[in-house]
Amino acid sequence: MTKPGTHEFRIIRDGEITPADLNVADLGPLLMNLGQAVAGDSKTEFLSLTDVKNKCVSLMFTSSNHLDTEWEELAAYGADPAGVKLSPKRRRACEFVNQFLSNIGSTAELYKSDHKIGAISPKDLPENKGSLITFRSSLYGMLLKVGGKEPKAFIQHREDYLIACDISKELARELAIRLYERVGVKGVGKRDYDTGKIINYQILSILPYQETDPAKAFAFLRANFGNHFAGIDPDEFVQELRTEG
Amino acid sequence: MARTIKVALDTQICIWAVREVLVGGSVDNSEQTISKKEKALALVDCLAREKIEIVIPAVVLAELLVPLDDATSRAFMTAMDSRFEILEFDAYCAVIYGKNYGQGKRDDAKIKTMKDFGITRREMINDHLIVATCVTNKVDCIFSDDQKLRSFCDGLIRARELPDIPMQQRVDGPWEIDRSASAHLKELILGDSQDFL
Repeated sequence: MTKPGTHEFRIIRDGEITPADLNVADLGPLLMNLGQAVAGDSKTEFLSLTDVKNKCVSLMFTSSNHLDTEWEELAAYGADPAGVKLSPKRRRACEFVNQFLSNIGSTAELYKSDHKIGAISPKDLPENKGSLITFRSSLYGMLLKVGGKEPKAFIQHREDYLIACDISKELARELAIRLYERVGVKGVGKRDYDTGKIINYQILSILPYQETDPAKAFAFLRANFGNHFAGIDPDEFVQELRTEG
Repeated sequence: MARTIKVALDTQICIWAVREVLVGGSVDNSEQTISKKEKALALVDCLAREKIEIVIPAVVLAELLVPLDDATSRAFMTAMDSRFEILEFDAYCAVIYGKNYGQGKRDDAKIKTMKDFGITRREMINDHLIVATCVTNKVDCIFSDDQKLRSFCDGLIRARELPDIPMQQRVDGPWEIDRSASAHLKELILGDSQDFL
């Protein structure tokens, strides 16, 4: 039951959605961006509690200030992303929310005082192709989790940067034995044009990379290939390579 | 979780760390050769000791393959691929390349630097490719002994020359990296200082 003056963001999908589908690490960036999508740069607090009922995860927000208009704007974004005027920061945050829902195959319903005022259904939204860059490249990081009904591999690219990668069941099984190791994968993904942040990534193959002490790695190269570089002056070699032509 | 520091090595530093110090079949004892090789090995050792990640941009890998014949190249690739993070030049690197190249054309200070070095923009293509790859992958610092690459990095990413890592000799033992070197190395990579103090 939503109390007057509170806002509810109800994440649903076909079949049951449980807290296991949305752990704290997943919810952190979602909440941060949801907060920015509504409050933007204002200092107004916008607090959340998570509630699980009716096979869906509900995020209940409350605020000491009046954010009803902004909440309605988020609902309006769900109905027509291009039709609502938002600051760049809020728009980027809305796009993140949209992409997050797409990644977990879910829709979000927005409630105000128990009344549904709109929904965000990623599959119905036109993709803003101007702000996302498709790239095909390798990705390295610590493998923290792999599996699920629709398998995902969670790779910690940097400390503050956990990427939920789509992966086939076959590759998920292969990757699972590398849990808590640094891994290298090859795939295709999308980056935000402005920030370079990876929005989504699909693993297509696993690289042979194994984390190695760099001193040992160079010692191996020296022992096996050192003679091939023996007659080369490294500085002159690079100078010639980069200035010829 | 402590923040992982990530550095890229330029081609000449990789070669210094890999090559045998042999010229024309005899040991090359020239001071510069020994010094550069020792510096490169000390840098790699110090980075390894501090668990600082070493990454290799694909353009650097390409340059390393130039002197190798096909069979050796294949074996070298396999060795690199399984031991190092190889940073590819992808579509987003192209975006960064375009931005940097465009800004460079309008940046008077960079134009002056290029004139001072007597180099054309075309001659800096590999430098641009390496820098764009490192910027995209949030590399903290590039170690390079190519002065024009370092000058071009200004304002885009930190670039440092092969540092003089302080060494100390154990009593009746071998030379080893000074214990104070670790903190200084991190300062060099993440701070404003250009020198190893």
